[in-house]
Amino acid sequence: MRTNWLNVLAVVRREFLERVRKKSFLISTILTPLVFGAIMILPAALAVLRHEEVTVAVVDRTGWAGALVTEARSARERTPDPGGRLEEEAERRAEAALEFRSEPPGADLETLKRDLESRNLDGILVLDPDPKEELKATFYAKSLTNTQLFSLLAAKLNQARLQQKLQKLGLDPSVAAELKGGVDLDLVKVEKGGRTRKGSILTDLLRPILLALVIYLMIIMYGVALSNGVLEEKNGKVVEVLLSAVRPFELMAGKIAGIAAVGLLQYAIWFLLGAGLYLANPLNAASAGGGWMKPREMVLLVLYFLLGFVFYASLYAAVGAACTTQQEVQQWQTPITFILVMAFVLMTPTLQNPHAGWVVALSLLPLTSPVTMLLRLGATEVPPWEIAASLLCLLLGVLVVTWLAAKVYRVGILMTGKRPSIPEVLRWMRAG
Amino acid sequence: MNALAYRGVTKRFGEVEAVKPLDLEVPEGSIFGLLGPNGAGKTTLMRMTLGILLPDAGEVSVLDRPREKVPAAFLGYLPEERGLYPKMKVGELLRFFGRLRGLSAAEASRRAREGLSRVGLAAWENHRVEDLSKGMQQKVQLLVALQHRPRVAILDEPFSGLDPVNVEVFMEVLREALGQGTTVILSTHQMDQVEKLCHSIALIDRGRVVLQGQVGEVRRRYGSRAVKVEFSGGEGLSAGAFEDLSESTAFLPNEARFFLREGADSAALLRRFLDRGARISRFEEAQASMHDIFVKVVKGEGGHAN
Repeated sequence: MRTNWLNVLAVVRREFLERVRKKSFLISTILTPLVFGAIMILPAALAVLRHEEVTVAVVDRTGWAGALVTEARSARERTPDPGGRLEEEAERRAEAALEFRSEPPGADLETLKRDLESRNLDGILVLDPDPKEELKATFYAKSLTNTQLFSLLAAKLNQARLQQKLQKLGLDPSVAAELKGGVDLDLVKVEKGGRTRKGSILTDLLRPILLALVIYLMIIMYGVALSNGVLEEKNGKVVEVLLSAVRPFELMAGKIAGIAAVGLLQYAIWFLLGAGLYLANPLNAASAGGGWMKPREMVLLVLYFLLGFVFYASLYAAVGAACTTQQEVQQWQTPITFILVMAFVLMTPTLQNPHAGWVVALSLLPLTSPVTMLLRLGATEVPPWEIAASLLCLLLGVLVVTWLAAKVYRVGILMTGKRPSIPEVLRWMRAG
Repeated sequence: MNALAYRGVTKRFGEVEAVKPLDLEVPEGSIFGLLGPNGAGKTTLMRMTLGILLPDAGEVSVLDRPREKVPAAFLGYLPEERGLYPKMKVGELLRFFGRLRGLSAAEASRRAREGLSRVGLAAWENHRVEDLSKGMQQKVQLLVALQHRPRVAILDEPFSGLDPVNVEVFMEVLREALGQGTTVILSTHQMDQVEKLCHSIALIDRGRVVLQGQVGEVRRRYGSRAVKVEFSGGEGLSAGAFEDLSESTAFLPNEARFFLREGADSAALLRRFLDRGARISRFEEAQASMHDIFVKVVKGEGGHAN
């Protein structure tokens, strides 16, 4: 009998509605962007909030450095970066919260250490003369985890050293103010046809990661849900009623398409949300369209999402059908998930060398291409033939995998009780 | 025309031969009881009829055509338990299965509402399946099997978990379905229901049909051979004294029940009582119940009756 697409449609509808109406759909739709946002913004935001006073005793044994260190201003002045402002603000506040207490050069370290113990003091900075570098500094504290404080102190020490050097060279110390500051590296991305566009951390690094991450998360999240759904159907007798009316392939195809539609809906919601937030920022609105996403990119994104999703979902569906318990399902899900995790773990080298041979290979391999190719697309111009080849490989992969999965599904879905061995799974595939 | 016909159908599960070469015909337009002890192969036979399992050998035909060529709309199925999505709303679930059985959207909605009010569940249309009692869920399962008016409905233990009132409702619904042209094949362990409902039966044991025929005819075939005697006195009367006449005997001080061997005569039995000087207060040739027949045949005490 031929595939009855009306049946597939009925299954798609049921699967879609059941999942979209679940509370977990609403919760994950709202919560995921919040968690993402929190991961990106929270550390800096918390650092801004926390302006607990930090008192550091300074024991100056050089006769000159103490005053220079305590007076030095370290906060850099730079052009504002959309991604960097919070961190700068945090730096400024940390500096404001830092208070120095000058001690005589001969101060007893043991007495000061007792102050550390009684929490009257947060740190002791000891400055010694150094023949070569002018200055040698040692910091004592109860805890050595406040990296922000260390970099602040290091900046002040370097400024003090610089001033001392200038003086020794016979230059006016006010030259130091001239020397302060640095060079801003402006990033400009050159696109096809010579068009250029100002780059930033947000659009050029974060965006490809975000796009790939969302695909990766969705495949894993919904793939696992699909395995479990198939198992549930199988362990109830629902599957018997279903299979007395529809063919196993129709059921599998319907479930995969239904769950893919749920994922696509969620993706669309997040996309619109992200685009809205991005354009709501006046800095980005000026370069609207150029910075966010081009139509071609969007089409590719949806293509990779759908094909990649179907590829993995077929594997997950077959796992659900071949197993009889939740534990077994998890056991078999792990290796599948692992492959995708690998592609994602290799994110940094992928973004750094988007044209390396192994990266190109991974972006052609159907197992990894949905993640790797999206990372590459975000990072650079990928030659059209590579995109075409990658999509073709993925499509072929999808055809092969769904064909095999349908066979495992066909036999596995009605088998209960006994754990299938690998030779048995292979036999099912041959038998069909 | 036969609703179902099995020819040489076989199914093994590893070492176990669940269905041995089996031949059976179920005529159209009847309620047919598939009887047998647990593990006899009834459910396996039903699954092969529905294409959920494929037979290892032999042919299953539905309405005189090969099973694979039968449209889904022609069949209905009620599995032994839990054949529903627990999280779905009752009305939605019925519409979903209606669509899968070839009903249009509008027709599926209409049938769902009709069906629910027929079995007294009209108020539950928008409740989740999991909120229903077991008996109510069973009613929904019955609607899933019958709502699209299949030509053949296959019901695996439809009465399990039902109270006597609901058993009556089910029987009525099944008779109505029959009136609308649905042939019903059901398995059950409740022999009194078989007597009330089924036209014909097949008794299956260890993968084989061991007895089949119309209910009345089967009972008659066995019934004339069940004898009950109430007596007093008599010398040396015990079960052993009737071994040549009766194949199974229950002997109490003043009452005895016999099941005559084939060819044995109840008059000979009576004569033996009188010869031994017993006084007979009651002598009755009872019609065996389906229950008696089931137990006797399955215990294998009576050889093959068909």
